[in-house]
Amino acid sequence: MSTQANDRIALLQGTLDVLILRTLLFGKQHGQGIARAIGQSSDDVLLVDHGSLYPALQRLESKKWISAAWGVSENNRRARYYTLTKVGRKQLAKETHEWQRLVEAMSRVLGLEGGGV
Amino acid sequence: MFWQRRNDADFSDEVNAHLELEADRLVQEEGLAREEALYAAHRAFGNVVNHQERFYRSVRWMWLDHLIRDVRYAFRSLRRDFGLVVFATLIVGLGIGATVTVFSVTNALLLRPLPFDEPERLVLISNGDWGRGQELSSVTVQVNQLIELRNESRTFTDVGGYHQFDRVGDHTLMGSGTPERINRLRVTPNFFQVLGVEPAIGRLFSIEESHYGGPPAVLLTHGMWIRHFAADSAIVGNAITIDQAPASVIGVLPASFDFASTLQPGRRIDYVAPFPLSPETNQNGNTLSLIGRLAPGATIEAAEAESAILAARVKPDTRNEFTPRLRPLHDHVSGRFRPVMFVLTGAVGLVMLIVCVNLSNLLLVRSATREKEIAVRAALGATRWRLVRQMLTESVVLTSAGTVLGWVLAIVGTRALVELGAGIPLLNTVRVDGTALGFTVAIAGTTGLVLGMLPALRLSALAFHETLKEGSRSASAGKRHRSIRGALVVSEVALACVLLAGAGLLLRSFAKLADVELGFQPEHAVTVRIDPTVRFEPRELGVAYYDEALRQLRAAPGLTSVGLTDVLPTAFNRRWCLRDVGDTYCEVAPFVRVVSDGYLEAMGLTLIRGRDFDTRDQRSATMRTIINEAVADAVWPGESPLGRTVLISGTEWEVIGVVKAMRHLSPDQAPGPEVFFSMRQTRDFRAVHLIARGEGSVELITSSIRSTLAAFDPNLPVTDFRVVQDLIDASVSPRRFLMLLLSGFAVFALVLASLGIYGVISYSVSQRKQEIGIRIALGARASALQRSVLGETLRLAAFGTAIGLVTAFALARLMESLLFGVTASDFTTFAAVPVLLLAATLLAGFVPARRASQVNPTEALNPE
Repeated sequence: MSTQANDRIALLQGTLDVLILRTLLFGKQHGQGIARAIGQSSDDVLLVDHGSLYPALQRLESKKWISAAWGVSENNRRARYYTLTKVGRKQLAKETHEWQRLVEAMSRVLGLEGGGV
Repeated sequence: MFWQRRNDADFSDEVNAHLELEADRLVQEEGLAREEALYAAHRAFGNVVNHQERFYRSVRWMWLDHLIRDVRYAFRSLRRDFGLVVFATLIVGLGIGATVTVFSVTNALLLRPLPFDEPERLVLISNGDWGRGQELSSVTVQVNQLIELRNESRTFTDVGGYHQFDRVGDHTLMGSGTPERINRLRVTPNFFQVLGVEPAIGRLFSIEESHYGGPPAVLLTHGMWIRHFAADSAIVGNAITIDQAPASVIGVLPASFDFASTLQPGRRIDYVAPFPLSPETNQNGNTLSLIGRLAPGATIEAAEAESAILAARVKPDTRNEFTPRLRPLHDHVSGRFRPVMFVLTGAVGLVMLIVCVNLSNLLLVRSATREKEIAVRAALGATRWRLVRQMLTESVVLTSAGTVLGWVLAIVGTRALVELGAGIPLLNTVRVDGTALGFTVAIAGTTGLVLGMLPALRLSALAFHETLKEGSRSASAGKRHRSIRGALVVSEVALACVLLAGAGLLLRSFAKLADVELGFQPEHAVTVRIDPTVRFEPRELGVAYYDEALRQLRAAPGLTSVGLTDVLPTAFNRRWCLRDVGDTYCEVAPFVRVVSDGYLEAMGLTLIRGRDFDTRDQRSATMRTIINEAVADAVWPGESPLGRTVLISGTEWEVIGVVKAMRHLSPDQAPGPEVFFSMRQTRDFRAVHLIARGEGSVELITSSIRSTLAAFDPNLPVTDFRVVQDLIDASVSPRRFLMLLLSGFAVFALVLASLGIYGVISYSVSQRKQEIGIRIALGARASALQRSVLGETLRLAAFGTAIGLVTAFALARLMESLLFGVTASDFTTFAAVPVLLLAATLLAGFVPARRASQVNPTEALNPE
């Protein structure tokens, strides 16, 4: 695979994780629902292959930041629902904080908020 | 598959559920038709198969998954080739069985530490070098010398010793019924402490018991305790009757203390008594073999130097010289077997190599038939590494059945060895255990990998050529294939050549040994011990007793000559100092033998000068001795020694006869100096063995002896008849064993090499069918074709033989210490081996040669 694709994946891993955790903050959700929620809440800026969500979901599940169980959706379809665990909640708080710092630092450097050339 | 938290079906379900939900949404929100919506959902998802595969990989150890698949595939593929599997199992089984057996013996003899406390600190302290003749009088030490070492040494923490001169069956145990002959070992009171051996039951000797004349106390060995006292712990604390006197049993030694097996192999020790270190025991001269425990930090060299100083200090008080020589105990016990084990290990390594080469060859042939299959797999995306791994798995699976067979053979082999091995120390500790198992697995794995390497590499290389084309045969690959197989066969022949040469040298040695002039006649001679268990008081009664016994035996039917001796051939013996009158140094130290009249004739010894003992030689007469050639030549070279007087051990003896020297210890050791004394004149003997020679069969002689002695003294325990020839045979049995083993390996190697050649030539003939068909059609004669095939065979064999001979010549030197009567460059052997090899290979090439000449041209030329 090309390095561009590799970078894309690396970036995606970090951001996807926090996006998934954030989405689940609002309650349990299945894979398709998570994909939709991410697209919606970012005004379709962040778009990802729905399938690519699943490696991230498996990783998060193995780290015990989310837990999963089969359930029934609104239109009576079987779906696997993911829930944020306590540890996952802590992780979300931590990563959100990291993102905050990153964004502030980048803004300062790039002069995005008032002042600077 | 185990170890997954979710299975594939579960993930599949989840993916399907996702797609359904997404499709629902698209139908709802964007009004697509159901089918369209599903397509769109699929597209949005990405590559479903990819994701499923990724999931599959993420929840497994892929290497294990591959391994299991490979093993299953190997089983399926091998099932089609059952003949190969049987053959491989057989030869791998034999190879591994031999290898593991040799390993177990090497482990027991050379690698495993002795069963004592911190055995690496134990050293044997002998007097002078312990030579091959095991002349005990000169390597043992006097009591005073031990005491000095013990008290003054700073390099030893303690020094103990054991008495070397207790002989088999010298003591009797009174039980119910007839008295039983048992064997005693006498040790210094601190002996067990030096070794670090604790009694299994009871205690060790106390101070009182260790004094001269103290209360008699004995320790039973584990074997004796089980055998005679039925492992009853109540015997400890009670008294048993030994030599008609009570002795208190103070303990039982642990099973791990197998003194006999370690230090006096072939003998059995029944009980242990203390040997007091006192002025009285010091009078006996050199009696003790010493074992010392080095102090922490002390080296053997330092200890030896210090011992020499201490020996010099005590010299004025001792009768004999003491030149301390130190050797690690383990070295002393099994060091002399290093050459044998070295040779055996080398031989077994060669055998395994031949097995590998042979199987590798077969697998190469097999690989030729699987070219298409491999090519397809490569085309479907198998990497080269994957293919190689699969082929290697297959070859390991192939060797696994053979490994199991080999393991079983090793167990049988080691058991058989323990039965056979007399005179080899530690043999009862030879067992197939965890270490051996680990070794087996390692060897088997290596074998499998090695023999799979060639076919695997070849096939995986081929796979990336154009082999899918019908009927195509990459010419260059085919030729290289043939030359590789040819090289393999050449190496097989070379290996077989080396083994044959080794076996040949040993065979010749053994034959030479059988021819050797012993100096006496062991055939038709039977021996049995006849000293009664009751002592004679006074000793004169003994003389009369034996005289009468001999008289009656001489009159018995079937016996031509009888005699008595105190020491049998191949048994250890004492040596005394012989000095010419007026000298102060020992001229020679001959073996001492106390015999009756008629012994010389009974044993078949040749009297060169003078006369045998007779009734003139009574206690009241001059002390007379018969000497052998070696003594005569040493003391009076060129003159007749008859009538001369010598000083032996402080007494003057007149020489009345000279006999031809005999190889007393074993056929492969040169005869030593000997002196004979008459039983009437000296009382310094313990055992009395009858030697009886007759004309009939052994059974006749034995029954004649038995009936005569039963009439003579019904209380005499007359058991354990032995043929003298058997004693001699037993002394060379380790040599015979090695020879048989190596010959077996050599034959095995020869068979494999022949099969290898047969295989290669057969294959070559079948490959060249078209060419042969053409030649026949053009008028070639059968004999010419056969000659060409045989020529090819001979070329391979000659090449291999040449390499093998050179290698064998170089390696034979390592075997030199094991040979007898032949040099390491023995011409006969090195001439016979190539002849044998070439004959075998010609035989192997014969069938393919005939097949070549019988090819039907029309069949051969038909396009397939």
